[in-house]
Amino acid sequence: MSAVFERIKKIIDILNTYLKKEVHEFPSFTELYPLGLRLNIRVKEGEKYYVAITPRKSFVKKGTSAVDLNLEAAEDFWLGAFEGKYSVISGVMAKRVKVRGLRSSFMPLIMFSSIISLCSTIIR
Amino acid sequence: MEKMTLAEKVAHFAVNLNYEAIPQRVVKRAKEQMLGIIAAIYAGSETLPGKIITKTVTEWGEREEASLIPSGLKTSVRTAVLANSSIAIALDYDDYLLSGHTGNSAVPISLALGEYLEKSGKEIIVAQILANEIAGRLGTSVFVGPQNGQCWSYIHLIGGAVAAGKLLGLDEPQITNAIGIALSQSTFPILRGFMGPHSKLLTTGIPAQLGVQAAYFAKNGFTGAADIIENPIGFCNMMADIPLQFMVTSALGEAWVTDTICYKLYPGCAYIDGIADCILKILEKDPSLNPGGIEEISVYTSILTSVMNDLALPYASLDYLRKEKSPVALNFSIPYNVAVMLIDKELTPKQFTEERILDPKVHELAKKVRIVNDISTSMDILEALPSINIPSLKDIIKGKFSLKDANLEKVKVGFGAKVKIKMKNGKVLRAAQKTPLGSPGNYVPLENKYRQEAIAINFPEGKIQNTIKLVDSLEELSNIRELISQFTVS
Repeated sequence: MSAVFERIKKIIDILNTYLKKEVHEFPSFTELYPLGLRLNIRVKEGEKYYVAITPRKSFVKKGTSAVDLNLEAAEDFWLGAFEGKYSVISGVMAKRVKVRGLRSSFMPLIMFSSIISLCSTIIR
Repeated sequence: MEKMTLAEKVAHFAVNLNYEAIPQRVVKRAKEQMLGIIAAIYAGSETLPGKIITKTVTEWGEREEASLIPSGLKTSVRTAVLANSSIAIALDYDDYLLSGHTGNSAVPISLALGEYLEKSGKEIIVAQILANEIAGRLGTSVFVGPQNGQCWSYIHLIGGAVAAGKLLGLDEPQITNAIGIALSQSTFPILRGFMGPHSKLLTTGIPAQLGVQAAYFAKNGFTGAADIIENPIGFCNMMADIPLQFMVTSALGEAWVTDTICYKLYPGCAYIDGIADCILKILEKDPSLNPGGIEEISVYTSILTSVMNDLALPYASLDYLRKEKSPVALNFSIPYNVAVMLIDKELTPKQFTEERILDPKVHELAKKVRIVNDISTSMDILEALPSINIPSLKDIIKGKFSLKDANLEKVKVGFGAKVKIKMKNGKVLRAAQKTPLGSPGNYVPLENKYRQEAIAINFPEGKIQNTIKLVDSLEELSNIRELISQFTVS
């Protein structure tokens, strides 16, 4: 397991815990998008992951899926973002993250960035 | 009524709305809104982008119909709307409600057209509240979508169309057409143009002007689509991820979104308000706080606040500010606002002058600000929803919700914050603010904001007092020109 995968997995575990407890903040986000937030995370060095955050279950899988939102950044960026050192959106603004599908997925991107930030606060 | 389109229902409401039908508490909110927005225009007119707008529209030399605020120079109605609405957001010093920043167009449109047509105080109040009610509901209809906050700029199109339509005396079909014309050219601000450069100011002015123009076109028989809002290829489907078009006419005349106005007492994004309240609380407890003795400042905010800060981040640096000479991004920067407040002991337009924003000492202190995504503060926003009986988001999406059931007059806004300052000597200073000052649930009169900004542009105290009195008894004014002369230099 790579370090990036491990970090994403930690976030997903937190989301699943919260969703099961029906703490209303996370379901509220995902209720807005009944299919949840789905995106591909690409690591410049080669790894690719498909992430789904849904009211029922969140998961991460190796590989990609046919979804609108695709984010690509270097490994060190992803490690820092999933640790909560900075947000995904700040990486977009600093041009450290390449985004494909922004026009149709701007709000899901903001939500994904916010969820990661909140979950990393819980981890810390 | 059921077979009417949404625009037709809005037009029906607009034509039939009269002063007597509006609750007095809503009228009071609108009067406060007027004072707050005029104060924002005064402050904005002193900024570099504000001055450039005034210079540019003055060079156009148009028909003398309405006043530029505060200079009193005369121009056409549509240009007065463009300039005054744009300048109102120069320092993000406006107001907002459920859902959108409506005051920065509702007030300038009503005043400009009212001045030209010599309308009464009552007619101005009705037009302003009408713009709030319709623009706010349109914002709610596209709540889940790519735009947010001031970038819901298209709300000024419909606000402008209905307020101008009302003041011009248009009938229902004409106002329906005005809405159709206005929304056919819906604005979609590009975030990069909003974050940093002067172009942000036009986010309000351009659509407000287009909305007014649409009413003029409709007056002469020009047509627009009556089903522009709900058509499958209409406004809501094109602008929202999850269209909530039914919100546009939800409980019109029964619930008043004007009840939910959040007045800004400080220049800056709404998300700054709670943080600024915290800093002032700390300074009140420790007025001699030495910024040089600070080791770290932790700001605990909602995730929404930190997203705004992140979006502004690249444009709040000293290098960028030196190049662009624009304070715009700083209105979203938590570190800058916290640092400049701790040094200057206040947060007013003076903290955003061309000289002040380039002070390296402020930017050095800003580096000590740590932003913490706080779960409880984030939750407070959601917890505010039950205070107005808003059901689950799922129910809203399914249309099982009417503003009538929302008790809007009891809304509490939860854009709060917590601040902890650790001093080098080990002392720790803390403050928290759940509901920012100026927000529903924590209202303060807007008189002081107006007075502060009127004094800043050298208005004499007598004139200021007279203006506040006139606004307080606005419904008694037979001709709004009397008030305009008080709002302006000449």
